[in-house]
Amino acid sequence: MKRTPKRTGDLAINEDFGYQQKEWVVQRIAWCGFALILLAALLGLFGHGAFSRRRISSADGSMVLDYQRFLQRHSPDSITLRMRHLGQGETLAVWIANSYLTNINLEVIVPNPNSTRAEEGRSTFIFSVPKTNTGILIKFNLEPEAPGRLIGLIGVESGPELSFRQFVYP
Amino acid sequence: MESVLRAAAAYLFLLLMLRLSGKRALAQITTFDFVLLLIISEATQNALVGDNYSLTNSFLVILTLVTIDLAFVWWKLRSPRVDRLLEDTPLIIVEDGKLLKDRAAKSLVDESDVLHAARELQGLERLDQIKYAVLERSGGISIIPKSPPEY
Repeated sequence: MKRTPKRTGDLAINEDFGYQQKEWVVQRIAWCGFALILLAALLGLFGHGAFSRRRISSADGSMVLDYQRFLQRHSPDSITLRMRHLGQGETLAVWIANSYLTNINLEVIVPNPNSTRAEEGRSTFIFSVPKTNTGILIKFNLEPEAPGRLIGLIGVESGPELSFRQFVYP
Repeated sequence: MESVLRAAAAYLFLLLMLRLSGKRALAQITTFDFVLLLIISEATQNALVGDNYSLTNSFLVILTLVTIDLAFVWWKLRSPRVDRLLEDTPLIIVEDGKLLKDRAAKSLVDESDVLHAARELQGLERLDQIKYAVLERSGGISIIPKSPPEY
C-alpha cells in the first residue's frame, strides 16, 4: 500500500496535526501516570516502604513476625521472627510450611539452627535458646522464586503459629 | 519459555516508555541524553537476562527481539495507522522564519534547539533564514533554508 506524502505549503510531508494533538494529551496523561507509579514505589507498593512493612503477632504475644507484604522475584528479602517465653527446655523447634518453602529460595538463617527435620508438609528448624527466654530473634533470608501470591505459615512446635500473605512481582 | 516472555516484555515496555516520553527522547543531542541512553541499556540487561547466563538464553532473547522487530516492520508497512502509532509523525515547528511557539513548547523544543540544528546542518545564522524546520520522527530537527534572494 503506497502512501504518497501530503503537501503542507511547499513541503511534501506526512504531518498529521490532529493526531499529534491527541498524542500530546495521551503523553501528558502518561507522564502523570509515571509520577504516580514512582510515588507508589517510594511509598512501598513494590516492596520496602511504608505500604509494605507488616508486623503480626500471636494471640498471647509470644511470637511476632516482621515481613514485607510486597516482594520482587529473585530479589533478596527476609522475614524476622521474635519470640519470648517459648522453648521446651533449651531448644526451640520452629517450622515453616513446605507450601511456602517451595516457592522461595531460603538462603541463610541467622542464627544457624542446630539441626533441621523434614516432616510432612513442613520443615522444622531446631535452635538452642537460653533457659529463660526473655526475647530472641531469628531471621530468615530468602529470595522469592515464583511470581504471584504467596501464603506463608510459620509456627513453633507445641506453640502458636502465624499465617501471612505476600505478593511477588515478576 | 521464560526467555521469550522476558524479552518480549522488555522490548514492549521500552517501546512504550520511549513513545510516551515524546519525540526528543531519542534525540541524543546532549551529554544528558547520551547518559540516559547508556543507563537505560544497562537497566534493560537485567530484564532480558535475569540470572540466566546460558548461551541458549541469550540466543532465545536475540531471536525473540529480532522476530518481534520483523513483525512490527511488516505490520507498519501494511497499515499506516499502526505506523503512525508506533513511529509517530513529523511536525513542522518553524514556518517562514517564525517559530510556531505552541507546537514547539508541547514538543519540549525551544528556539535554541532549532538554531543549533540550523547551524549544524545548513550553516545558517538566524531563524529568519529558515523556510521550514521539521521535528522528525527520530527526534532530530531537519532544516530547509530559504533560497538566497528571500533573506
